[in-house]
Amino acid sequence: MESNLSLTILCLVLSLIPVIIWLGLMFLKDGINKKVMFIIFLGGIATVLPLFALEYLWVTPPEAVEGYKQTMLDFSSQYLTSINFKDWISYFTNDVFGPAMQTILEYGNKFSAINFLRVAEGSGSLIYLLPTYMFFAMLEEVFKQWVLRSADKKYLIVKAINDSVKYSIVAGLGFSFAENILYFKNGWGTDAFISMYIFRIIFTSAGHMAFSGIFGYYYGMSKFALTIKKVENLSGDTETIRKKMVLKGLVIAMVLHGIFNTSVQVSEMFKPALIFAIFLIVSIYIYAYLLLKRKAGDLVLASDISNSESSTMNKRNEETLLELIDTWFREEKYNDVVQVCDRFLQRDPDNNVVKLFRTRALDHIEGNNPSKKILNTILDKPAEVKDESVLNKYKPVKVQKDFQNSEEFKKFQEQEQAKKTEEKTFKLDIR
Amino acid sequence: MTEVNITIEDVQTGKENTFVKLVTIAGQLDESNVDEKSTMIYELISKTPANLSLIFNLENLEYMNSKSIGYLTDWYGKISSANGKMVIVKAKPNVADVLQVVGLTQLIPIFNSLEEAKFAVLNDTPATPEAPAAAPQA
Repeated sequence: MESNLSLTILCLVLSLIPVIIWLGLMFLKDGINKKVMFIIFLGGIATVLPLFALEYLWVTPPEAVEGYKQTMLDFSSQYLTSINFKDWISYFTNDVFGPAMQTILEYGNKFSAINFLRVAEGSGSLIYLLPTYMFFAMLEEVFKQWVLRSADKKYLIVKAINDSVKYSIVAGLGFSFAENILYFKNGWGTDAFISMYIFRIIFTSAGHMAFSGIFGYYYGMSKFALTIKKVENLSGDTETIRKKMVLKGLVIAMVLHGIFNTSVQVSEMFKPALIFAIFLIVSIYIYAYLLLKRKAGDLVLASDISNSESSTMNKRNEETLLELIDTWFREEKYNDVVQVCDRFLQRDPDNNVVKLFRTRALDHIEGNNPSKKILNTILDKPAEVKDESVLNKYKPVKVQKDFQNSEEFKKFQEQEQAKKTEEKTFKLDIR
Repeated sequence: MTEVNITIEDVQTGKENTFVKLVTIAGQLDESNVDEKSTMIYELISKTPANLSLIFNLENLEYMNSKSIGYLTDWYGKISSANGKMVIVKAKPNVADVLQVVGLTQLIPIFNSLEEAKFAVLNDTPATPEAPAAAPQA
């Protein structure tokens, strides 16, 4: 028992190492609410428990039910005194718990890891196997996203898209921390421990963070659906767009996680699958990292209403200007967009739509688009920034402005007046 | 379809090789009419390839949509690269407001009277030596 405890503590420490390294790498420079981060981390850990319970049912053979039944009956005969209660326990154990558990385990087994062995022996069906790994991967994502969403409901932590990504990553890290403890404990002492340890702390942890990060990104987008809707010209009501975005993030995270888990499992039979799994994680991780670097992601969109300043622009002009900004943005006149947005924000400092257009244009000017950045690195080309701006292209006018008091202008005015009088006289003459 | 009227008049400059047109736009420029009406201005610009200046009288223009602002910017590009100038006269506050935020008033100044506009178009800024060569006898 004591050695079991010390092994648990050892595995806990071993799992904590990657957490500290990852957190240090990710958030050393950035500000993040430490208390909320800790709570989310704990939440991530907690989500492991129901999943492991479920997985336990999955892999336990139906015969184990007899053992459970015996334990329950032993317990009641040893500690309970009331005959009625003992009868009830024995009824419950033999007629309710036993058959129900038997059925659950039998069904669970059909899709279980035991089938994996049957596949390896050529007697099982792959159809049962793949959905199992997909299913667990998906369940993990469902639980992790629930942590972020409930934390945001309670603490209102997501004020910019990147907040959402960061906190979601913390939830993923918490999950992988708890999962690692259990895996390390099971694998302790085996030959493969070191390779498993290294693989898990690097790739599996990064994977959990990356999948959660993707969900976090879409959750963040969904929170600012109204703003994003205006910027991206989406049609439909805000609530639908919001739900669609959350769902999209969840589905992408689930599918990628499922592919990752499946390829890790398949790699036990077919080695190259492992390389694919690593490649998948590394590329998603780089993509998520670059996504976090974008300015648009850091833009604080959830502002305190009591601090907001009112606009000094009339509604119709605002619409006209937003249309113009949108058109120019799509025509890649990014410098113009930034200039117009700057002047717009002087008049209406809290307009989120304008703020988002401005930062997105800046991201384009500075070449912060993740896909382009990756592509340019691969092709070894400098980031090409296209800009079709016009306002800067032309020199400010060579028209005089402050001449109203000059002698020349007064003379000109007199001449014009004289001309008018002439014309009038001329017209009168004709009559 | 909203009503908009565009009239184009010649302005006597007293200078050779300098063409100034007064473009008066009244009504509302919006999605329903802006594409059609803008062709008038494009034709005008293409007929006079160089030294054409435009004075826009917007006294009775109630509203400009985003597209018309885009056109205005485009005309400015064409006119200024062909040695011309562009000014606006008497824009209503809401129109002037939009143009100011867009930044067009830095390129196309707004004046309160036609005389000021004419004077500004016909007289070069003294400080800029590379200002376009005016007609020889002026």
